[in-house]
Amino acid sequence: MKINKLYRILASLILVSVTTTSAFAVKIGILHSLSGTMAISETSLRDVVLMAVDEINAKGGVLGEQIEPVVVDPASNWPLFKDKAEQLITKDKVAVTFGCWTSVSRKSCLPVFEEHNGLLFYPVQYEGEEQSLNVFYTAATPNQQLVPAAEYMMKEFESKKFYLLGTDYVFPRTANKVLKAFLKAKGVPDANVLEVYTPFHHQEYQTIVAQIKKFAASGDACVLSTINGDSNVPFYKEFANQGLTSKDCPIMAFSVAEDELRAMDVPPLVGHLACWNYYQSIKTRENAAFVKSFKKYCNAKGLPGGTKRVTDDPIEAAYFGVYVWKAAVEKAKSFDVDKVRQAVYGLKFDAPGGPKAMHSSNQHTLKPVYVGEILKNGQFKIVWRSKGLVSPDSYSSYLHTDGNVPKPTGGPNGDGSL
Amino acid sequence: METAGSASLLFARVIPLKNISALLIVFLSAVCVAGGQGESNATDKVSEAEVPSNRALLLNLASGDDDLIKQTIERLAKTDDLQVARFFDNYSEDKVVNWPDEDGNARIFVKGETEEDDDLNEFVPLFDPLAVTPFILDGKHAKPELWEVEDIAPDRKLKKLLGLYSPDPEIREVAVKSCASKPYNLDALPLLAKISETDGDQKIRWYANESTLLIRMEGKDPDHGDFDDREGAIRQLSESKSLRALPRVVEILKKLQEGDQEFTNLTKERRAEMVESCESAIESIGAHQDTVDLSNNIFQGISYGTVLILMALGLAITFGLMGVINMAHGELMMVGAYTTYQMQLVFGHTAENPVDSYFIVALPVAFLAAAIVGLIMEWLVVRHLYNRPLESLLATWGVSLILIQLARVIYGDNIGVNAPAWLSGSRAYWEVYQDVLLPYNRLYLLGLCVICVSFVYFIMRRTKQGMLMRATMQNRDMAESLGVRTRNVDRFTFALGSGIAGIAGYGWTIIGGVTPDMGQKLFIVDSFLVVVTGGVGELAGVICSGLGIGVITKMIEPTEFGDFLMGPVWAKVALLALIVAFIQFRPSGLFASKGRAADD
Repeated sequence: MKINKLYRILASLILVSVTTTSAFAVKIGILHSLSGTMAISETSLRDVVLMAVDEINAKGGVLGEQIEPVVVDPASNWPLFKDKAEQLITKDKVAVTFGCWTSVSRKSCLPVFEEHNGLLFYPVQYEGEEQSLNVFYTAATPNQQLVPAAEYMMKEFESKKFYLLGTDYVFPRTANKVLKAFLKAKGVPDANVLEVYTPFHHQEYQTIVAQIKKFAASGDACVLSTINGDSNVPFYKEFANQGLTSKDCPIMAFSVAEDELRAMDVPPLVGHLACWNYYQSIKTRENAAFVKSFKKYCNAKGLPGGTKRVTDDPIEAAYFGVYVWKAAVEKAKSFDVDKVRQAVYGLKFDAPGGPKAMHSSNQHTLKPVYVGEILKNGQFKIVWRSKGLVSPDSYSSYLHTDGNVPKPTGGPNGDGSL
Repeated sequence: METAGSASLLFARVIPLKNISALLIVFLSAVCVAGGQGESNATDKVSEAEVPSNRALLLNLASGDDDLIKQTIERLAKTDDLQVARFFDNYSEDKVVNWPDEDGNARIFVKGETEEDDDLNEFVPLFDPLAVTPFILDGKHAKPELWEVEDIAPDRKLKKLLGLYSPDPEIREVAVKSCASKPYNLDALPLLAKISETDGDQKIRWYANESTLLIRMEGKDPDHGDFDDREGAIRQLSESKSLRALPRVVEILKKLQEGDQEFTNLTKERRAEMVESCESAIESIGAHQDTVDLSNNIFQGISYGTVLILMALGLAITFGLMGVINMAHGELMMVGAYTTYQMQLVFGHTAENPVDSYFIVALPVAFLAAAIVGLIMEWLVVRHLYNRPLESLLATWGVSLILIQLARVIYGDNIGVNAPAWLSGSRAYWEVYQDVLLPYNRLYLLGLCVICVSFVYFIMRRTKQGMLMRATMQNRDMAESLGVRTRNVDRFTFALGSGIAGIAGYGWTIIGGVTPDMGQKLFIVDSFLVVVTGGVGELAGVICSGLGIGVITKMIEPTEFGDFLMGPVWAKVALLALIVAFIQFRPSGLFASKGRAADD
């Protein structure tokens, strides 16, 4: 860090002294864990944001100004997210921050962004139940991932029994609450829904799989899995071990994407499903170009994995977040957070996975929904796609049946008003 | 065979597929067959007539018309051609693609592994769908860009049918079983019935029969829908003790008792009879289910126990015998796991092209790698800190952080070890008793555990080195005065413990994942738990406590109190509470200590 800063100071000194016409750089913050547990997922997001910055700078920057990224490492330490966010806003005076993965890290730095009226682009699918005027959520809300997936299982597999399996923390708990409310609304009796949690890093899935096997003996059951991180490998391996296949009891996962599949022994997962808003296997020229430039970028920067790197949903969401911000700045002709925020509402744009739009009155993104089947090479075959874009519903209508949702928080006046 | 490829190109050009009805396609393909026979008489001597017609039929698969695709599959299946069976396998593995020509006419191919050029563009090599020879276009193997070709994959129901035709028993077994899972493919029933009588594999015949009966029992079979048939199916399933029938019979019984409209035509006596057969089926299959559950619980407990023993065995040597609180023990296992991964890379083993011998070679290599890392650790850090447990705790914790970061820098965060083919797959288990499945990879770990324990015992009890080790651990000064070079003994002992940890890491790769921080996250706490419970300083303690903890955990986990299931979270809580209570009564664990720790 210190050396980095030293370089930066030196570099800027040289720039100022050598070129008298040098444009002022606008700073943006990147708040992703580069060490600790979450580094496994978050470093890819830092890489792709830096790549977007490089692309934009090569084409002349934003409003004629070069972007200067300020990378900090909150080290998978939730309170540290708060300190680092504070540092980015008050010390580095960044115009916008791209960052966070887990909900707890977002919740930890949210008060800082609201207090200073900062702006955060959050690129990971989450459980909803939040609406801060200081955050733009570029990934899925529950109705853009969980509900379509459950609907797909009911239609395509004629599933009548649902085994909700998750790691014990806030996202799976809230996700399962939404799923249970949805299934109840669809007339699935309580006896046909089982909800089981395992601790973080759980590795012993023999008993759970034996229970699933009994549960699925009726031939009309599926698993909706919110298992997180390193527990997935032993779970899928044990599932195959006990003679179960995706044809007897399919697993629909909400936390397994291409980047996670790189670390897995894929054959036991083949045929199982996942639900996302983007897959590397989306077949368009634009996406092929995106995948290629990400691989090239990782290779050129000597990042682990090099050309073997893959893109996935959060990577796409982090990437187009930068472009959404750029487009909004150019529309507002200003870096001012309040003006940029107004410009983001209703913005339409082309992402690598296809055209998307920001919602006209809330902080989320309209996205397509895809169900993908896992292939042997760690990629997904898209087996279902939503008709057009699905509008975000951050306060799930299955949890707030009366339509009363809390007011937004934060914003220019700090009270959720614009 | 290259001419076959160009022939398919020719037919593809002849047939304009776009925007014409299914009927027209069938008609046109017939025309093509007629035309094709004349032109291709020199191409393929084996099946002169079939090849062109099959080839033309394949184009129907790109039509997107489900009925037409179904008819096509049936017609193709009738040819009983090995090429067609192979095509079916490729088709159900999603390897069949459509690459339209310039005019938009469909062309069907089998795709190979995606290739990358220096500029990272991705290309798909295409092969002839039947002969699976490279497709030559303009004198070169045709490799269009990935996004240009369209995957045409069968839908879920069709895949079930295709699987039944497969020559591979593993695929056939999965398909046969899945026929009784939703959504049903009733078109497959006649074939299923045929398989249940004629298939060469006894297990597949059994499953085919079971699946047929399960569908019949629910009254879904259009030819066997009346109540006598259904009741007969229930009886037969009850006799064959089909576990899959249990929840379904329970469902039927519930419907009968609630007077579901499905059963309104039944007379009172018939209904009573049917209720009775259901109840007796539930009783008989239920008894079988209980036996299976109990056997599974015991086996799973033992299997979990062996994993724990493997984890803790190395620690029992370094901590138990030598008294070094080695917080980097988990990282030594990580070293073993990464060595296995490295061997996989060296041998070029992938899921697609298995080179299973790598897994055998990886065993000694993992042992050596971890032992060497252990030696270096002992020389650099541990030897300065004997008899200073607190410092060694902190220092080895530091070493563990260094090793984690090292692994992360070298390998990145995400890697995957692919199990060898003989330990994976849907048939990789030994069925000791109907429905009691012992997976090969668990058995392999069990064997590995037995070998490791015997190996350690052999060294300790039957070799001179072992005698010197025991002497040093029991009374260092006395041993030294008798001429034992205790420095060498320390070095050897620590390396042995580390090497065993490496083997544990190697074994772990077949049941779990590999990450840089796996040692701290997964192993270190459990390892110490086992060693401390077993009694520091005695190897037998590790074995007893490992098995004990394993079996007790697996007995607690499935326990239900009314609606409340213990599950893994509460089982862990209960287990820790038990151990805390146990340590209160026996502070030195199951077996009293005899090692160096006893002197302190």
